[in-house]
Amino acid sequence: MTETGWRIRLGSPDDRALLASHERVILRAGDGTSFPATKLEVVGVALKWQGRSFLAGQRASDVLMSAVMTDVSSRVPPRDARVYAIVHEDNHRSLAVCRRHGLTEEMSRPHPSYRRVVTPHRDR
Amino acid sequence: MIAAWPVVIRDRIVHAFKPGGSPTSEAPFRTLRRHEWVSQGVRVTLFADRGLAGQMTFFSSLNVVAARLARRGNAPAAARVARAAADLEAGPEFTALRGLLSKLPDREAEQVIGGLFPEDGPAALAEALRAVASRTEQMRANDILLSSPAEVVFAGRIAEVTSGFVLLVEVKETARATATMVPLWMAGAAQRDQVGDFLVLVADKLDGASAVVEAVPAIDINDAPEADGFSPFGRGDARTRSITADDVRLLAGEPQSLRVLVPVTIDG
Repeated sequence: MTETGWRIRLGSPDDRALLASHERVILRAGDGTSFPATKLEVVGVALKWQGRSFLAGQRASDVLMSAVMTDVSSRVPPRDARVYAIVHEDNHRSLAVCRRHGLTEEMSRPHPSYRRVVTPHRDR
Repeated sequence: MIAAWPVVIRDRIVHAFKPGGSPTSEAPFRTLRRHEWVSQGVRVTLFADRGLAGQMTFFSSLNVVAARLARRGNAPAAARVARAAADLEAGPEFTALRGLLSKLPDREAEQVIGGLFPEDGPAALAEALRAVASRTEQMRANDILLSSPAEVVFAGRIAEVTSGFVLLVEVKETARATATMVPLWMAGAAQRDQVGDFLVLVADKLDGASAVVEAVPAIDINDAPEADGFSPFGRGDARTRSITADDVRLLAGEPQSLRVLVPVTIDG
């Protein structure tokens, strides 16, 4: 498995405002069925950037998630388009960000307090 | 997460609409009603020592936001937020809360709506309040109107009480949490003047450098039995990668293209 993590710099060289990482994983069912997927490990916005927008009006969190999605889709070799995240059910802001970026389908919960959201699929 | 008390009485909505006026005035509330800048609210029957003690109506706290938007002249936004409040009030979380409030004795329901939880109150009531608060915060997170720059919110826990002030400290895991002093009478009016209490301060911009600062009782919506050692991060917990038969059916289709909201160029 390979993992990637990077930071976007805003302002001064020490001003690390946004941080994200994702990795390719295999999701496996009890009967052995498996699917390659990309798991969003961390998508973090520094406290002073939380809720803030850039001059053009985009939220910092949307820019970061867009960068993550761009990175996932442009990987060579390609990372699978099934992208999922595990988010605490009370973390409404993170769930809203995920929803805005297409993680709209609900999978089973890995724990009663955590939701697992994934990008959608069409029937074959 | 610390959230403002999710239910209010009519007076708080009127105060948000006409900060300088009497909160019990009828006319401002009629104006809000006429323009549909406030929801219908939820009616609950009160009980006292000898049986029925009348009825009261309580509202989603989103109505306070709607009233502020109306005061600032943003009528369409006020109406939209009031509709969101009405949706919330029609939902299962409010239904459960209403049912539990109707069983409380000695007009305790009024105290609960005002932010006071009865000392020997049922755990189910605390859970119902958390569920309503959680749903309210969910709606706030989904709607940019509900995080207006004209409102600045400071949520924290009271760390110290002196003769005239309480010290309100932001609830954060880092050591750099900020703090502010709040007059004791403000904290007391919000039913939160003891060490450990949760309180929210809302600075509601009037114009230029002036604002109405309101102390609002708060609730910790994460104060529920915690995860049993589960970590969503990394590769250590196999539950993050194991899936069910329903998941298999969901994932069996063709993945749709990823959504990129903001064009981003990645160098190197």
